[in-house]
Amino acid sequence: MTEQRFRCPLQSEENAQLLLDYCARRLDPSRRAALEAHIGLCPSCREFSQAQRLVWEALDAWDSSGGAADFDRRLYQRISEERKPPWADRLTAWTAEISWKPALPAAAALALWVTFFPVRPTEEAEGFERVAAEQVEGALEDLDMLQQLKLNLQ
Amino acid sequence: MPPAQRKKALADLPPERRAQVEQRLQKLDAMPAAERAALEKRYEAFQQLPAEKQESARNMFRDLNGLPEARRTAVQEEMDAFRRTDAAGRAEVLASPAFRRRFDGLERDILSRFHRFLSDTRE
Repeated sequence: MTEQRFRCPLQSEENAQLLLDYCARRLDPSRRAALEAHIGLCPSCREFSQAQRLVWEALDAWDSSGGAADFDRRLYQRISEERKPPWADRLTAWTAEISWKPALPAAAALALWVTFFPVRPTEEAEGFERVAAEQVEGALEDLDMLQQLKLNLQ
Repeated sequence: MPPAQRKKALADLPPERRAQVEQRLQKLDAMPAAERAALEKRYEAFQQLPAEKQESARNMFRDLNGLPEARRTAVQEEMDAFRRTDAAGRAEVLASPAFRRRFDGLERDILSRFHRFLSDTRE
């Protein structure tokens, strides 16, 4: 598989699983190398895989400090906070200090613009949160399965 | 963690799946430290298996959980017996008329897959 043979996983539903498998360390070495070559060129995939890596690191470390309760806390902090854009807090503080009355006509125009041209990054961020929650769900299912089936892997 | 934060993180999951995640997290929270450590090691080993073997185990687990409780218990008891038996012994059990009488088609299929999984991963 080369860069020319597959579309960006974030823009191609059939390749999205490839990126998820990469983040979950399920890819074989050759496909992993090909995807890493793509990630080197694609900022969106790089950002996505870095965010996902944090989730998986939290899973890896779930027992390393403070037990499962601490794992639980860190895992959900990662999911809910790591994906928040860094400028969101600053924007919230800034807008709280502004008097909005003189800007109402402009706000109405902006509302129309947003209605007809929805903001893509918000949709993507929501998609990332969903995917992360699904990955956590999958990891928890694996843990449950290993426990219930008493699978002793060597 | 605060309930509101947990709710936000899981908001995208359908209610039934969200409840299952919560239940599984509570189970992990309640687990003794030594048991958690052992489970973590098994999880790491599971992640090293080829993707198709992982998926096969997950499908077997889902099929098992889809059985009525009494039948699930019967299959799990047979799985316990399989763990104590080597591959040749399991194959003999799987081919026996008594086994065919005790388990229906899906149950036999689950146990056959379990036998293969054990053979592939530890023997």
